[in-house]
Amino acid sequence: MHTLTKYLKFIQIIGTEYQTHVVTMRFNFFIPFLLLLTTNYVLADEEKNNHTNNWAVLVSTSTFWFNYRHMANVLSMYRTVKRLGIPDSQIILMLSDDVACNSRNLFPGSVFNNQDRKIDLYGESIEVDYKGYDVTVENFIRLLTDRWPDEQPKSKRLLTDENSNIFIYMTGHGGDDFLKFQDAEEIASEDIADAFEQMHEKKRYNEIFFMVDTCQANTMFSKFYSPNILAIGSSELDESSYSHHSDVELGVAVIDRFTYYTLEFLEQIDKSSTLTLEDLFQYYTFEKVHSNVGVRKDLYSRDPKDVLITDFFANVPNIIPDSSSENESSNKYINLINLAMDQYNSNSKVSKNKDNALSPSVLSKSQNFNNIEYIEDTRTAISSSIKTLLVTSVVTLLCILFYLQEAESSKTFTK
Amino acid sequence: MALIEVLHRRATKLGLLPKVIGKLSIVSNILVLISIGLILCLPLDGQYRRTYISENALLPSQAYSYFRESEWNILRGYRTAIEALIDKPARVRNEVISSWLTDFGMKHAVYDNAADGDTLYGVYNSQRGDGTEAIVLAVPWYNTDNEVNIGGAALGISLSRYFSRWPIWSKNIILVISENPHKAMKSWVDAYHNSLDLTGGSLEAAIVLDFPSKSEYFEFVELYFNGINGELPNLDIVNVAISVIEHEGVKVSLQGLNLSEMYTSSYFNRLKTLLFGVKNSALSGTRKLYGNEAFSGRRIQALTLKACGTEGHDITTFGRIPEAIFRSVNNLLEKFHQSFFFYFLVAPRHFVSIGSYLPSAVCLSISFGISAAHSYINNQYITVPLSDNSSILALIIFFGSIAISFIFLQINETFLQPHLMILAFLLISFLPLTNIPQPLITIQPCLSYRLKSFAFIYISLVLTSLLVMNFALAFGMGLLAFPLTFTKSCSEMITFKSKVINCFYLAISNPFIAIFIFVSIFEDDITNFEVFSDLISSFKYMGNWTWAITCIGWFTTWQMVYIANLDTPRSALDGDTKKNL
Amino acid sequence: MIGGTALQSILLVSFLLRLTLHCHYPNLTFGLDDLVEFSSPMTSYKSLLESFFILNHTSNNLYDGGLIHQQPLLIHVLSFFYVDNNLLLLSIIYSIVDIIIALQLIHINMILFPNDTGSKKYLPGVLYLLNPICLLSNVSKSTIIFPNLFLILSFKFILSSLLQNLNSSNKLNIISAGVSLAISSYLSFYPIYLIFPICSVIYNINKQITNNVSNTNYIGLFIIVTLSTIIGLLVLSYIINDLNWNFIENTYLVTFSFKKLIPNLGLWWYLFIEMFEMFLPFYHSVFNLFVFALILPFTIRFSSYNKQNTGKNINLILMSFWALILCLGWITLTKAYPTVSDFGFFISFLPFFKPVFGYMKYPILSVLLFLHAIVLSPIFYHIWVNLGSGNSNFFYAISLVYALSIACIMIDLVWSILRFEFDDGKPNYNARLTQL
Repeated sequence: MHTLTKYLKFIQIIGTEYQTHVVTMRFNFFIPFLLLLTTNYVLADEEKNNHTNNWAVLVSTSTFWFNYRHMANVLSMYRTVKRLGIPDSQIILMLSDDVACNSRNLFPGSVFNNQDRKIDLYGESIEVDYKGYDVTVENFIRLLTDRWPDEQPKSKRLLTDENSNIFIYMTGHGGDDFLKFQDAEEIASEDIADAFEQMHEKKRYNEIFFMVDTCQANTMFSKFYSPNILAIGSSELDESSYSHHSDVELGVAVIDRFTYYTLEFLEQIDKSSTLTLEDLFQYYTFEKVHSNVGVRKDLYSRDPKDVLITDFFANVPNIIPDSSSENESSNKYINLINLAMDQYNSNSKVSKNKDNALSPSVLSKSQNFNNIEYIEDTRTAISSSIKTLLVTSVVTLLCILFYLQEAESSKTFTK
Repeated sequence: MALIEVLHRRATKLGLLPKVIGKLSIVSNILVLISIGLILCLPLDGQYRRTYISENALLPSQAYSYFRESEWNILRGYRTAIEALIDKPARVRNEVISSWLTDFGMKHAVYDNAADGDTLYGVYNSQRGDGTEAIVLAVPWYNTDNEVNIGGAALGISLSRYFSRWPIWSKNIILVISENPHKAMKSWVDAYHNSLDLTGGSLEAAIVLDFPSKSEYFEFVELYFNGINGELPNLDIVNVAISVIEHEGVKVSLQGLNLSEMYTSSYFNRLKTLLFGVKNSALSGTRKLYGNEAFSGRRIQALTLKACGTEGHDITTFGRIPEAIFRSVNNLLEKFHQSFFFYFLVAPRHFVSIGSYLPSAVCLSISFGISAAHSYINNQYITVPLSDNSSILALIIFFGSIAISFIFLQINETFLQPHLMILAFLLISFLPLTNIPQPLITIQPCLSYRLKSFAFIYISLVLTSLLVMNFALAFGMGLLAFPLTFTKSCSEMITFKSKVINCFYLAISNPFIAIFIFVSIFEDDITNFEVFSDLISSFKYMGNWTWAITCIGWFTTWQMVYIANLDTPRSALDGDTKKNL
Repeated sequence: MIGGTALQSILLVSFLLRLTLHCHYPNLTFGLDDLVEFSSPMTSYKSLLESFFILNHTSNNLYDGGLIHQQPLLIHVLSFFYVDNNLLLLSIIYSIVDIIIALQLIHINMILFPNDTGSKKYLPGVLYLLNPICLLSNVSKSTIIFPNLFLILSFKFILSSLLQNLNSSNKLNIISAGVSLAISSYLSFYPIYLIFPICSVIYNINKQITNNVSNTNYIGLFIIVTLSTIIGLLVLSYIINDLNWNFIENTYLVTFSFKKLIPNLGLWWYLFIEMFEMFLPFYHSVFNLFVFALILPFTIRFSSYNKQNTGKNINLILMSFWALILCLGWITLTKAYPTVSDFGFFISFLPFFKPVFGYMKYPILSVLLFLHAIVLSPIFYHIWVNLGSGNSNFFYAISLVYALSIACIMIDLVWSILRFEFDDGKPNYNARLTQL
């Protein structure tokens, strides 16, 4: 069983058309049996790595003109995740937003993260969900746990489910186990840890990648205890995080070192990139960041070497295209369950009418090599998988009955 | 608590308390020595701290300053035009300068003040700011030494023109060209807060420029920041100014000391800077007024930058200093941080904060309190109840002395004859040597002790209340008045020599004589007798309380102690005292 | 009329002095009214003037703006004397009230210490008139003077019943005392707490006159009169205030809730500057309970005999009167919006403690504490509010010193009274007691 999964994993990684095809062909007969044996296992272990949607929560907790760099940090991150395909509806942007139109800004309406001022972070459509005095600890916790009064608009909520990968980025002024919110209050690392636990209990995430760029940032994730959270911070306890450089015209620092090098790395990423988080972690050195970057992996079940950057920073949904219309695309399926369902679909296609076979089934794995846009409907996915299970179990029963009958007959024969 | 109990028992056993009580006068003297010692300790390594910018928003010199060559030409142009105005009357001058301000779109008005001189000022409303706060660039036409502030005026105007072309201001900018840095400036500041029509919001900071030479170059900057009544601007703005000046590669001098003393770090140089700071703060308002003093008492952080020397850095460097300070202050969103208002600088980048230096003045105040206790306890009249006639008489004398002090306070500077006054007080001080007062007044010994006791408790109270407001004055006054506690009542003196010493103590602790002596020795800026008219005029025009405190606090005490020392000698009273006891 | 020509001339001089200060230095009045030491939102002269204006020139309800915190009856009565912006009548009222208070002090002294002769008889009143705090608080036209007047009238009526042997006139005194206390409580609320110590004074007086311990008729009468008068006054206020109860909220509730966060010499305002909202009810109740906390203990402890002492030298009436003054001091220390005027009124009663003066341990300390507090508090306020170089902690620290000075006086008095009781009324200053 285990070997089988590993084998499938191997296929999924190398997944060329031919091989998949061969595998499909070879497995054709055994599918019902295999499914019965492996489905549970696969669902229990591998489903964690599945995600069907990506969300990003980007928070700048500071305010005032001289904290320009924090606003620039967050807006740069915003630009990056947007560039990699996470839509505005799935990005929650929290920042005081008092910089672009600040009277002290020599370039009104613009925010830059580099003194060359090539990219205006504020230039295109910016959708700030929480601004000014709305950037509070309470709102942040409510956002994570999704405990809102009824009138809270959907656009300002984090509508995640157990298939969501969430990227959370925070920057501001921090200290040992706390992060200041706008000079007025602070959030403790315990608060975030408890909020994550609530999210876990409420099945609000599949995986979380928590990134924080403040002084003594690593203390911020020291109290986490919920599973499937990967965290990275810019500096150790009693260590400051530094800004990268200042813009002499603006008269303020424009970006922090940690974020600067994160962005530098992310600039090479596009949606099809195969770089992993481990590559990102290796990218930080003390010479660059001037502080010791800390990573916390113990809560995370996967090895960062196997986790693609795009798992968190991009919106790369795993999609099951309609196999009836494009037969060749079925060859690209690499997931066992996909295969199984495809099999089921193609089997039933013969007997059932076409409409039924068109029902979209989505239980996807992270890797996907085609770019077909597809609507994901989890409910249909679940119902179809149950159908699959039912059918296979009936078939198996029949097989067993057949076998038993044969055994009986052979017995009688020997008699 | 247990430890205290043990100590308490031990002390009782040894009879420490009665011993200490018996030696209260010595305790009081020791406290004064401790007080002086504490001040002398401050410049020691470890007692002072390095300055730091406490407000994150200020970011001094983070922005590049562009007041450079191209602006230099404009500045030259203005200076040439101003040179032509030097001999013109103020009205003509203001008209011409007004037209320049109109040229670059600065609203302006003239504040008419026939008595102190007209003041021209312009307001540049920030384009995108909310316009509720303003930064002041002040240029007195004549500086404190009565030189024409040509460079300053040219800089002020060209800087205003330059500022008006930047879109980054969140605060309004006000250019003030007053006739002089003291009365005219002060009257403008008062008028701004009361009667002027053209205003630009609350004033947050003020930079006074003083560049009297016609030269293109200057060597270093003198920074003045002592305000009236011991007030100091927030340490943050001083730090910003010093950091900006040094960032431009210019050296800075504090308290008018020379550069070598500023930049060679040694105990004595630090001590000198500190003591000059204390002295200048105590005499502030009386000494030369540089312009920043006019902004005191209104929550305006004011500094004076004075360019000294004629070679080295060019004049635009001097312009970049206010530019960078303005950009720092412009970054502020809130008021300057609290608890950064009480400090003394021992070097441009080192300071001592209130917690370190306040104890020495507290010691002084306590030592007067102990002297009061001493004159109350350590004599045979302690058994006389507090409600006795002598206490009531002492109270009446106290109120009488205050009344006399109030009369003194009303003296006009024109009436004042300082020579005569000093002479008179010298004579009065030595009057007890003769036998003239004895037949006129009889002061019972009990009354004498009560008077002293009340006088010392009064001055202790005055010093305590002055501590936080004006440390330098409290310290100086306490120190100069301290010989009062050495005086002894006639009944305690036998020899003529001790009487002379007594009178000597009275003389040197007389407020007017003491101030006169102090100023003639330590202050070069004030010519001996001028100090009194300076004090009075700064009391009247600048809102400086030193004269009032001297009269009502110190002089009252002196009168009471003086009367206490007039008591009838024991021998003459022997019969009476026996009866009383 | 009591007293000789000397007293009369002192009264006249102090009356004229007050009148002159009122009429010729109106700026002094306003200046003092600006000092937080002399004026609180509850008693401010400026808000009184505002209320006159609202009353005379607008048709608005007095309390709509949330600025006025004086009681409607007081405002209506005083506005009667404020005609055409003329301050003379009002000034005369204020000056006369001070003289009446001084006369009541003299009265009380004559009742409590009938053996005093000569000028000593008048000392409490004269001290009150000469006390600069009382003088300045009078000049500040703080309305605290009116509840004080009725309070001291109430004290006097109660003690006067001591002089009467006829029951009917006793009753009259007690009714007058009840009415006065009711008016005083109506005007500033806190005097209502003094109903307990006053009852104990009545109890002890009755015991002495009739030797009847169980005679509680007078106490019942006193309580009934007081409460019914208060109810009557409230109803009257309701009627005069356009049939609107909103004056309750703006006068008494503001007191209970510490709503007016203007710095004052009190202990509590500072705690409400930054407090989580959910704790507010808790602190409101605790601080209000605090004011009441020691009223009953003082009353009970000092109005009955310590059984171990069998002597009859202690004048229980005097003891219960002291308890009353201690309660007054406690209220001065812990009330919501205190001013030095309250303190001035409290220390005017100190001369009545003269039998225990010898026991006092640190009067000089208390005096010095008070002097420093009263000198430094305006300075620290100036540094904080005007210069901006200090902060609120400076001022709060000095207001704590002020509270400490009151506490010192009270502790000293309590100790002295207990010693007095221990020595059975015969002072023995040499006996040394270990203080626990």
